[in-house]
Amino acid sequence: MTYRLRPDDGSFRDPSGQVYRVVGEQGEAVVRGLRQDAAASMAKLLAEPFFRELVDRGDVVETALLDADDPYARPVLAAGWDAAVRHAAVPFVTWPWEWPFSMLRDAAQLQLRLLETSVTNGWLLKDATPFNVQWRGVRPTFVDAPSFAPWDGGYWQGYRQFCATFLTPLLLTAHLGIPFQPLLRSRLEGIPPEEAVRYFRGLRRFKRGVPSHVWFPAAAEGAVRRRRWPALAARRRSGRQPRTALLALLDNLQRLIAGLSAGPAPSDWARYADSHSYDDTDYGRKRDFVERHAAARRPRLTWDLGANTGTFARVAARSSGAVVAVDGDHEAVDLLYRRLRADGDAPRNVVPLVMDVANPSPGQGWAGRERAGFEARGRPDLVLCLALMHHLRVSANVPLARCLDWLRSLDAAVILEFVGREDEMFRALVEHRREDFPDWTAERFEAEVRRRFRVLDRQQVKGGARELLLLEPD
Amino acid sequence: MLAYVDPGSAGFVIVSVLGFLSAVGYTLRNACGRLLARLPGGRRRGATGDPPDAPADDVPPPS
Repeated sequence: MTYRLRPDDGSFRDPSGQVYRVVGEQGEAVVRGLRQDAAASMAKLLAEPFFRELVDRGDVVETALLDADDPYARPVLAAGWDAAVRHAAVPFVTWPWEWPFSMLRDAAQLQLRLLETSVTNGWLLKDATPFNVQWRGVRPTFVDAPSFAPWDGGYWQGYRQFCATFLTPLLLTAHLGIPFQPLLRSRLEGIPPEEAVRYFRGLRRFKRGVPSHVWFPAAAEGAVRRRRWPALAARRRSGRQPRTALLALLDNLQRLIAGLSAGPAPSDWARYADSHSYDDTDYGRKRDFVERHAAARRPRLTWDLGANTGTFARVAARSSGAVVAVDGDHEAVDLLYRRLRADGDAPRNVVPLVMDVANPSPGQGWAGRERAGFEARGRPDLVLCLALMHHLRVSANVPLARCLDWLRSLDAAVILEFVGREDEMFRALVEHRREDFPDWTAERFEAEVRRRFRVLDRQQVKGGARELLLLEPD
Repeated sequence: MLAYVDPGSAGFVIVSVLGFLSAVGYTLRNACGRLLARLPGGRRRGATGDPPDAPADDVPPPS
């Protein structure tokens, strides 16, 4: 069998390696080609007990050097690399602008913990970016093993990157209530200190962590920029830092981040699971419908669009390889994440993401492909679209046909909940709008659905005000 | 010309100053923790001055 090689579009900044997706006999594998020196460093790292412990704990993705005659290594070596390592794949790659506050905070804590362990054992993490952290369910895992490098006593050069991409976004949300997601989505390198300092004016500059990790770095960078001290540039290359000082700084950051919280009162959506318009019987029917059809299909990947606090994502998770639970409401998604973390019996294969379905994450970075758009990162086998379409039609003003075209383009089975005009939630949605959305009728909906899908099963709920449908692409 | 100056040039100074201040704070916190632990009836604290039981995250039960 031919093993096909596909370079990862986001792996080109480090010249000592390149990540590929290799499709072969036993499915797809994530394989990294390495240059000679990087391969030697990797072999040394893999033999380190501290690293093996991190992998065993799940903090770092499983990594193994491949033999030269391994079928997954051969195409990578043929591409000119000196060695190949295989990494365990995560079910769905996500980006930090799709994470709620608590996920970014936990990813930051993982980054600091790994750095602390590394420094204690004579190693260092070269960089500090959330792109190196991915999620297996609600567990963060570090995926960039070549970031570990032997520590020669040099100072922590990743500090600025850590602040720009982890700490400052967290401070903005925790202290000022500013959502960090749109900022990180537009600035992949994070928020630099000279920009961050403008958010913290007046007494806000004295909030916890701001004087030391925002104001002072901004002032120091400003001074260097203006005076262009050449001596500093030289120290940048050769500067050293005592281990105790570095560990104390990491301890300071860990304590600061552990004390941060997003804080605001729960949104209407975060309370939805307790305050929805269903009675117990109909809610049970809806749950059974989802459970039955998910169990019959056993999807590898399920998307729950408009997942809210994840009631149905959890139901589908029992029979899915992985579930990506997407909602535009930050508080609902953050609550889902914290519940999944706290509940020992919760499924471990649900990844909660904050994203407006009407404005999904686009391709970002170099050539628009360095950080792939939402749909380009893996197609689902099953899509849950429960009580979402009327929001897309009314709130986002997307015509019904376009909504269904998009769903059809995913080429997956869909469990869709139609909310009729007579439903009180639909009436509440249109109550104060000028338009009455006359095209939103059960007949029109049925006709548009049948142009694109086959209806395999259906069930009315709430006395016929809503209907659940199982759809398959036509 | 300012655009040609790498903002990371100040990194060594920033990390050195913050590392030094953090080390001082860390040492003082540990010293205070040890002192408090020795006082009769004083609160017992962890090695870094943390209370032994950190408050749990305010997570409502699953619905």
